[in-house]
Parts: sequence; structure tokens; C-alpha cells
Amino acid sequence: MITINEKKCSGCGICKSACLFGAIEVRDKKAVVSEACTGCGACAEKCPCKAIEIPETNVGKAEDFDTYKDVWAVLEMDLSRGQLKKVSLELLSEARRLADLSGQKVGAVLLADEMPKGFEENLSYVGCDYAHVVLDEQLKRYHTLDFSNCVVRMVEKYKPAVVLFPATENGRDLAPRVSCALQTGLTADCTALDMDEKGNLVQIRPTYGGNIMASIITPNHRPQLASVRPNVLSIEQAGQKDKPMIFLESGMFTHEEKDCRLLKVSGRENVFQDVAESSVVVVAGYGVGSKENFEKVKRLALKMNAAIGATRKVVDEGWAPFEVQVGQTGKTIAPDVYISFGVSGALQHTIGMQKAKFKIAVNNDPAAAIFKMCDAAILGDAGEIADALLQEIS
Amino acid sequence: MNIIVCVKQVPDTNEVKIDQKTNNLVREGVPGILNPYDQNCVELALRLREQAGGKVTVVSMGPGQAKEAVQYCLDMGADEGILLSDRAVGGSDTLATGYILSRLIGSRDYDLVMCGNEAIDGCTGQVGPIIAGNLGLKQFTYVTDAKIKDGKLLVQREVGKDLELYEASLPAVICVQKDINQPRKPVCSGREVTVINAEGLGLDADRIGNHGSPTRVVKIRMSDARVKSFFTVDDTLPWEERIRFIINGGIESKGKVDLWRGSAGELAGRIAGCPEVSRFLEDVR
Amino acid sequence: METKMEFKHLLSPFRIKGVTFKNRFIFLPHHTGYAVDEGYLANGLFSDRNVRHYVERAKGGAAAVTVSQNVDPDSQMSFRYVLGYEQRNRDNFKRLAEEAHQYDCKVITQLNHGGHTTLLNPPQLLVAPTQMNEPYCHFNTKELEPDDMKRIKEYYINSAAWQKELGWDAVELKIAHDGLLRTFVSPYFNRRTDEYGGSFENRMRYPLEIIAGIREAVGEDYPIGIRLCVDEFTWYGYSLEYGMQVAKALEAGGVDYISTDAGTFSSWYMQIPPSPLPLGWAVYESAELKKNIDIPVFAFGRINDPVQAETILAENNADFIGMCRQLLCDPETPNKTMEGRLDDIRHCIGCNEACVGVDGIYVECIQNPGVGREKHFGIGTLEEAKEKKQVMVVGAGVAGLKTAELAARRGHRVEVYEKSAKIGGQILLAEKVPYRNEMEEIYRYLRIQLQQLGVPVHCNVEVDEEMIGKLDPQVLVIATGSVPLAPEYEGLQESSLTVMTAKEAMENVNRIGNRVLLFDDIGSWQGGGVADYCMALGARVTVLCSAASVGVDIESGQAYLLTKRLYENGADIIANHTIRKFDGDKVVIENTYNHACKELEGFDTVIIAGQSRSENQLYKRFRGLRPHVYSVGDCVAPRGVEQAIFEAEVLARKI
Repeated sequence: MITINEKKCSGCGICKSACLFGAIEVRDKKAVVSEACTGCGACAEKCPCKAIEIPETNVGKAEDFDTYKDVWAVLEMDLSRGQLKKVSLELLSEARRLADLSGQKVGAVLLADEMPKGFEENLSYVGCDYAHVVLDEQLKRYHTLDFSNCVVRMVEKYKPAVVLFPATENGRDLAPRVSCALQTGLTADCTALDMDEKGNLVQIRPTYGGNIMASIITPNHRPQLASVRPNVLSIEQAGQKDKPMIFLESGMFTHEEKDCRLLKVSGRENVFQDVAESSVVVVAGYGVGSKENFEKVKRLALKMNAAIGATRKVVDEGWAPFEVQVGQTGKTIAPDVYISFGVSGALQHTIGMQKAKFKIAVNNDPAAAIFKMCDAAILGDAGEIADALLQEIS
Repeated sequence: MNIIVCVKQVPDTNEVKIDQKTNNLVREGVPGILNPYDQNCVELALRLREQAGGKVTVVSMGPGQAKEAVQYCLDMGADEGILLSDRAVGGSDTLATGYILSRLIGSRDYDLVMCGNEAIDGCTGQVGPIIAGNLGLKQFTYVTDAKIKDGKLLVQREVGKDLELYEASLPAVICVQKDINQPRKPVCSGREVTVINAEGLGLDADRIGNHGSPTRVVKIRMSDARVKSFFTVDDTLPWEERIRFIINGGIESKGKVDLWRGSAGELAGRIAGCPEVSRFLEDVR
Repeated sequence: METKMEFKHLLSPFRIKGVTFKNRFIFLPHHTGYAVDEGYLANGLFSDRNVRHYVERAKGGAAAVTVSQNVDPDSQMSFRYVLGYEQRNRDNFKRLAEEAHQYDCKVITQLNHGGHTTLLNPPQLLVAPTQMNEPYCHFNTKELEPDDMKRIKEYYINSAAWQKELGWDAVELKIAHDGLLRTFVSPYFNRRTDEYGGSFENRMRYPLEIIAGIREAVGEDYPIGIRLCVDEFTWYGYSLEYGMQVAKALEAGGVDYISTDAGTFSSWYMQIPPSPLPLGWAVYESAELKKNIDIPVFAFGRINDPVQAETILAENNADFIGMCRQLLCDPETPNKTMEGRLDDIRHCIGCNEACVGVDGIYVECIQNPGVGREKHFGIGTLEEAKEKKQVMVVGAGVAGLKTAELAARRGHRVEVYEKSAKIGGQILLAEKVPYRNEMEEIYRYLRIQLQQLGVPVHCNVEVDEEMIGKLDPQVLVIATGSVPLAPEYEGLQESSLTVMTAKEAMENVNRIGNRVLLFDDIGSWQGGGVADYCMALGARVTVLCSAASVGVDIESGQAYLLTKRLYENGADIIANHTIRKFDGDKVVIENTYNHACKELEGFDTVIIAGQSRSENQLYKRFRGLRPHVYSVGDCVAPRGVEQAIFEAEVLARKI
């Protein structure tokens, strides 16, 4: 929390207006800070009397602070396909960009039962310099203690300056466990990353329910840990780079998860992603014509890992719950991709999705209003095309 | 069986309004609520107590106002409620918070530690695993169900499209997802919250508060990602343009659009081929 | 429809000065035309009908009703516009306050002066700050003398004070379409050279003097609000930027709230915006106001749904939700919101047909026959049937569905049979017309109600005598609708052109070619709307009107916007002509005045929007089969939705 030097404070209240968290009040002509303070320093910048101090941490840097080098990404496997998940390459691509900004190298960490398909090619594509790989039958599925101990040992041995984690469920299970073991800082769900002049990783993320964007650094601890969600970063092809060096590590892994066994893995039924949060939304309108066709569109959405949305008429029919209704009397969405089937484009609906970045509409009425506001206008039968698209991507 | 549930009072972020003039958040009058994930967590804890007997203790760390959240849990049926309120722990990031809570928990008997998977204000989901790390316990996140069977914990995780079922010995930490059950409504319990300060917990001053927080916020700004549910009209447009813009719902009309025609298969191929779409498809191509 | 939505903002109270509004629903002011006209010096009388109209919205749960009134007996908008200072209105004014208060509903006076606008044609005298006509109207005005202004000011002040005495809760001044105060504020209309014109401060002087005078008369604790036009949407008028300045000056002048509004008589389609204007289109105006002033703001503009309203409030874009047409269509919207019965809310579709209408005489609603007839059809008037009967309804168009709904509500056992695969009748085609997709709400609401009431609706069933015999209903209601008459013209059979009725065209979209001649013979949506649809398909359209313009029987704001769309999209409009005959690939048209003929060529499709005939064969067949056989809707005579629903309402109460 910031501290206010009462002698210097004039009670002008500029700090109060500068505080996005409402943590400052002016009482009896002096500024008073509450526990809502995050120490961000927005007030200190604006204070004309220089009466605000941001606390210095007196925890000094560790002696080996400057020996930490390189930007790592912890990779995650897609077990059903035996290859890396796309998010792994997104992280490595970003790691490449950050490493280039600061003259460092990019390393990958992989814990798996066997080498994924196309491993070297994928790493080469994104410009990864080396990878530390631990292979063991027991590492096929994620277990907290096994994975975190292994990662921690590798970090302690090789001392990367930055370690990026995928903000998948397992990634978010792993990263804080690692941060606790290493007693270092972690920022979850970053929407952007950067390097500052001092070599600090700048971790940018939304907070306070998404209303505030915060920039965070870990100035005195190494490594700096951050996690990023899938589909936030993009995969860029790196310039001419040598093939990555693959180090097969032994002795890093010991099976430690005791008294805990996986009994069963089954598939989830009917997972409706949050229509307002998902980057891809597939919407079915009444024009799909029947419940069977609606189910086709739903299967397509599930396959694409997209959210399924619906127009009001579809919800009225009982084919979809109100929670996925998109439009003025439902939710307003702004996904990266919006694909609609049988949606006519009535304004009550389109106003709820107009900020979607890329809009595709499939409808069999050439005069459908939605065609006037989408990026790809497809004339055809909703059910047929949903089927065909499902086949195409399977 | 002794269950300790960690809860947090959070601002109701759905209620957050923007002061139109200063473009700041209006924090006054935004009610504090028990973190919704914690509501489902407490409900699950109470059901486990019903199943296996024992005691449910709720702990929390926060300013004095957070008493309300702990009281809510007592009124849901928890046996004991403790709030750690001390300026010395203010300004803690997740690492420091997890440490402090683990010291509080560690000072008591427990078989199972439970918390919500994340809080709706910070949404990091980090404190639970950090508590587990400090206590050296096995952890399960994204938990959607848990039972006690023959003294062992049966716990279900939802990860991606999978449902994983584990059997584990206690003690353990489980982090519970929201909306997995219908939390019972609180009923005046007559039990009161015990408010304590940091004395007696033996906290290492270098690991709490600002000092103990490796991460620091250096800059903040209002997020412009909030999608407004109405359109604005450019006042400088001539009157007919303003009307036309409004009638189009504030949506740029593309006038005549090229319709894609063809067989279902061809069209599907074209859709999947759009770079904007293909980047979201699972295949790593 | 299950929802966990809580309407924390919409249903929370809000206090303005000494008045606490129980929720955020405000029944916006509107001229009803229900005041009684007994002649010179005896008009603008607030009638029993007026009282019931407002009490109905109070019963339905609104926090406040606002009553439009004229202040100046010498300068009336209409003789059926309530006179605010008319002493003969004392008893009914008092009665309204008492009855509304029983529902904790506040009553707000809205004081207006037409100034340069009127509903009379021709008006006796129009007045303005400077002698100029309102561009929509050809009558010029009198430049107000200081004595006139003083007198008018007195009328405002005395009306406000008097109604406060009678128990009314707040007063609102209109600086919007009913023009006088707006013309003072307007730089275009106010060219005065005395202290009431020539600068912004001077222009605001007159309204601010009136406000100050009212404030003195009613005291500090009585809310004074302004219905403010923030954007005139005309070539001569001011826009939001200026409207904002006015709002700020009003706030500084001691006003307690601003209720947003837009449009003028010249842009009348923005005043009572019809369906082409999107739902909630004007929220940006109240949002902008919220950024610039501190006093509460009312939103307006096709807000017809509580979910929408809650979002507007939750995002801090307004403090109150002003609804007029929605509360006309369903006065119980607030109560239904409170009870979580969102599915039971009947939504206004913005058709404007009966509430504005072609002659705008009485405000009515095509979906709710209770508007203006609250005594007979209002809340609580539907009586349970003394004898519960088995009722069979044949035809699931609007008339059939409405009869079924009300009969079922009264306790009868109802079943509906429909020949085709879907319910909705002709609305299924009407809703395809551009900007008319909200028409589907008419049968959507009825369908949901029938589901709630447990009324089975059987589609794909053709009813015959055998079925009737087996089902044995006591009451048979035939609602089989109408079909267009087959066009009969000389040379039609031999014509090489595709010739269809409007209905056939909408049912066979592939047969519509690229060059369409649409004959608007009956002036309804079947003409202009189908022309609009053809344009949306990409065809080049020529509209032939037997009348002087397209859509003479369509509400004028809708017709204006429709005609504008036609012209802007390159359509040709040929007025005052009918089709004389077909000649090969040509069409011969005839001037309705001088009968001169002309040949048109180059078309591939001709669509005729002409007369329909009742499909009453079943009625004739089944007439004797049951003790009570009725026909309702278009199968009696082809008309419109308003008539079908009214007829159904009357019939259902009779059964």
C-alpha cells in the first residue's frame, strides 16, 4: 500500500480522482488510503505535492539474480492426438519475440511419455533454440506434484529468467505450485507481455472483473512466471534459425504423487461454453428449421471448442437455454469469430454481436438482412453446411 | 473430519459501474459479496460434513468489512468462522496471501482444506495451490464434485473436455468450481465471527504485505474491452446520415455483398480455410 | 424460459427531491385524444376514459404516469388534448391522483404549449418567438408579444401549482416536439432582438423564467423535470451537442431531472420512432447526458423489454426507463418483471398503426384492445366463464390464437387446429418484410401464452365434419383468414411476364426476377413492404400506386421511411395510376384522373397487392353443426391485425 506524507499533503484530492480502485478518500483536508490500495502508484504520479510514497521492498535481490537467463515456455500435450497443443507454440512464439527484444534464447520444457509428433519441426518453426525433455511413462497424464517438482528442479538447475505457462486448467494448476516452491512471482492469464528496458517481463492482464488493465512486474525475484490463455497470442514463423537442441533429461523426475490414483477419465456431456467469454461463437437462428438441425450446429460448436449461441426464437422453442441467447434481450458478445446458421439478421440480434471481429453467416434467404453486415455471406442450407463443416474439421 | 474452507469477500464486479465523468470505477455502493465460487465451496463442505461427520471452519483474510462474508458462511451452517484482519498483511499478492493463509490453517487441525477455484475480482486461481504448496499437500483444482469414501477422498476434476475421477488419501487441498451445486440460503445462526490479528501466527515479516510480494502493479488503466450494449452516433454527421446510421443499428452496412454459392462441401472448405477461422481450429498445422 | 436474472436496478426505488419512485418504469407522456370536446370554451376535458387509461398503468406497476396537457386555452394542439388549467378538470384530476396513489404510482403533470405545431388542420392561430412556419406546416405564425409571453407563463405556473394542490406529485415541462419552448431554445426559430433572443443565454431566458416561476409556486421539494429534445434530426435543427448545452443550462436553472426525447414535427418519424428504428436506439443520448450532468436522466426510444432496460441502468446509461408504447401494449410489464414472468410480457412491435395511425385520433394498440377501452378490456375485466365449455378453434392465425388465449384464460377447454405446418397465419409473410421482423412477436406471445395455459395447438390438421363430430365441442370458432383475389386483367393469361399476388411472391421468392413492377392498389404493407423485400433481393423495382403515394393506409412515419428507402435504393414510383391491361411483355397503365394510358416495358415480374377475399368455406360448411359457431378475423372480412384481435377479444368474452 502507498503511504501518504501528511505534512506534504494539501488535501487537493487529485489522488482520489486518479485512483481507479477508489482506495483514497480526503478527510479533514488530508488524503487517507484504504486497504483497497494495490500499490500501483497511479496517484503518486499525479500528486502535485509529491506527498505519496510507493513502498520499496526491502527484500533485496538474490545474489545469483543476474545469472538467470533465457525465456522458457512449459509445453502441454494434446493426449488425444499425440502432439503439442497449439498454445504451446503460441507461447514459444511469444518467447521468441521477448527473447529477441532482450538478446536471450528460447527454451522449451516438455514432460511427456513420448516425443510428440512433429516436435522438432514445430519448435523450429517458431524459433525455439533448445528444449529440455523429460520422458517417462508416468508423465503421460498431468499430476501436480510430479510435474511441479520436475519443473522446479529444471529451473533451479538451468535458471531461466522467464517461464511462461499455458493458462489451461492444468497449466493453472501447475504454475502457482511452481511459484510457491521457487518463492517467486506469478501473474495468471496475461493478455499481453512485454520486456522493459531493465529486462523485466511486463505482465499485462485484466483485473477487477475485467474492468481494469494492470501492468505487473516481478522486479526482485527470478524467474518471472506468467501464464497465458490459448488463442491470445499468435504463432509466428521465426526467421532463419538452426534446429533446436533437444536435451533428454534424466534424473529430473521421480514419481512422488503418493496415495493418489486416477480411477477414471470420461468425456463431458453438453458443455456449453460461456457465450460471452468464448473467442469463437457459433449461433443458430430459427432458420435452421428444426431441432435436429440445431443439434447439428451444436455438435459443430462443440467440435470447434466454440460456444453455442442462439437467437430468441430458438430459445423460445426450448432448443437452447436463455443463458446463450445473443441479442438485445440476451447477451452482447464480441468474439473473434462469429458463425451463424439460419439467422436472419434482425437488429435485436445483430446489435448483440456487431462487434464480433470476423462474421460469417449461412442462410438460405438471399435477402437476409444479416448478409449486409457480415464478412462472409454464404447462401445455403444451414443443416447441410453445418454437417459439411463438421466433417471438414474432423 | 475437520474441514477448513478459505473464503474471500469480493466486490460484486457485475455491479461495478463506471463514473461517466471521470471514467473511473465507482467503488462506493458496490456491495461486497461472498465470492461466488466460495459459496459453492462452502456448500460442498457442508455436504461432506453431512456425509462424514466432523466440523467445518471457515477462514478468511481481509479488511474488517470482510466479516460479512464469513458471517454468511456461518449462517449457511459452518461451525466456526475466523477473519484475519491486520494492516500488516495488506498489500499482499497471491504468494504472500497463500503463505499467510497456510500459516493460519497450519495452526489448526485439518483433514481437508477447501477453497473456491478463483475469486471474481482477481481471477488468478493461484492462492489455493500456493496454500497447498506451503503445507506440502496434494492439490486438486477445477473440482466439480467430491465425496469421502472409507476415509478416502473421491474427487472429480473437469479439465477441458474430460472428467477425471481420483481417489486420494487425506489430507489434501481441493479448489472448487462455481455453479456445481445450489448453495443453501443463510439462516441466522447466532454464531459470531472471530476476528484475529496477525500476532500469534508467527508470520515471517519478509513474506507478508508489500515486502513479501514479488509482483507489483506498476500501471493501471480502465479496460476498454467492456462491450457497450448500445451504439453511439457521431454528432457531426449531417442529420440524414445520423438517421441512416441509427436505422442501420449503428452497424456499417456493407451495401451489396458477394454471396458465396456452391455445394455444401465446397462452402465448408472455404469457411474452414478462412485464416480468421483456421487459427482457432485445434489442429496444429 | 427459466432465468436467474434479478432486476436489481430496474426494480429499485429512486428518490427525486420529495418523491420516491418505487421502481424505474416511467409511463411517458403522450397525447391520447381521449379528452372530451364539448365545443368552444368547453374542450380539453379530462374524461373518465383518461383517468382509467392512466390508472391502468398504475395498476400494472409503473412508478409514475405522466399526463400530457396543454396550458393555453387560446392555443391548443387539439380540442381533445387535455387542458391543464381547465377548472372543470378538477374532479377527474383529483381522482387520478387518488387512484394512482393506491398503487404507489406517482402522477406527473406534463405541461405543453404547441407554439408553432398543431394537430388541427387548419389551426386557428399558431404562435412562435419569431414569425416563421414550422417547415412541416404551411401556416405561418404570430410573433409573440411580451404580454402574450407573460400570459402563457402564468398559465404554466398556475397549472403546475393547481395540480400540485390536487395531489399530483411532480411537474414536467416539455421542451420538445410540442413546440413553443423548443422554438425559444432553437437558434433557427428564435430570431428575436429583445432579451429573449440573439444569444444562448437569451434564448434560454423564457424557459428558465417559467421554471423559476413554477419553482416559486411549488417549492423546493417538488420535482420539476424537463422532457427535452436533445437532437432535432432536421436540416435546420440542433443536434446532441447543442442539446447538451441546453440540458446543462436547465440543470443550472434548478431542474430536477431530464427526460430525453428527439425529433420534431418535421422529423416526426423520430418522435414516435417506428420499427425501422432499432430497440433502444436513443440510449446513447441519455448515456451522453449522464456524462455531462448530475441530475437524473430518463432513457427513451423503443425500450420494450426489462432485460434491455436493466442493462441500460446497470451500465449507468440512465436512471429511469421511459416507456410509452410498451406500457400501452402491456401495461403489466412492471408487475410481470417483478414476478419474474418475463415470458408473459407482450412486446410492442413499433408498428405505430393504432397508436399513431393515419389520423391519430385516439390512441389504441393493435395488440391490446384495452388501450382506450380500459373500462371494458382493462386489467381485471376478463371474467371467468360461468359455464366452462369445450371450444374448438380452426385456424392458428392471429384471430384464432387470440380467441383461444382469452377463452382459455376464462376457463374454457380450448384446442386449436391449423391446416399448415406453422402457426401465425399471414404474419409469417409479414415478418419477412424489411424492418417488420418484429411482427413475429404478435404470434410468439400468443403461442407462449397458449403453452402456459395448456392449450394444445395441432398443426398439419385439416378439420372436417367427422373430426368435429368426434371431438364434439360446444363452441366452434372458425378463423380461417383470407387469400388475395386472383388478379383479373385483360391480356393477363397471354402475358409472358411472371405475374403474382403479393402473397404468392413472398411464398415463391425464386420466381421474383430482376425487374419488378409492383402495383400498390390497396395502400397497405402488402404493397410497399413487398416492394422493399424485392429490393432487398437485389431487384430493380418500380412501384405503381393507384393513390397519390406509396402505402396510403400505412402509418405516415412508416410510410415516409418506406418511401425514402424506395427512392434511395433507386426505385421508381409512379403515382395515380392503375394497371389497365397486359400486352405481351408490356404493361399498360392508366392515369386515375384523366385516364390517359401509357405503356411500360422492361419488366420480368409483376406483383399485385390488391384485394383479398375471405376464406370462409369452412364457416359456411360447419355453420349448423354445433350450437355455437362463430367466425372471427379475416374470414369475416379481410382487414388487419388490429381488427382481428379486437374481434377476437369481443368474441372470447362472449363465449
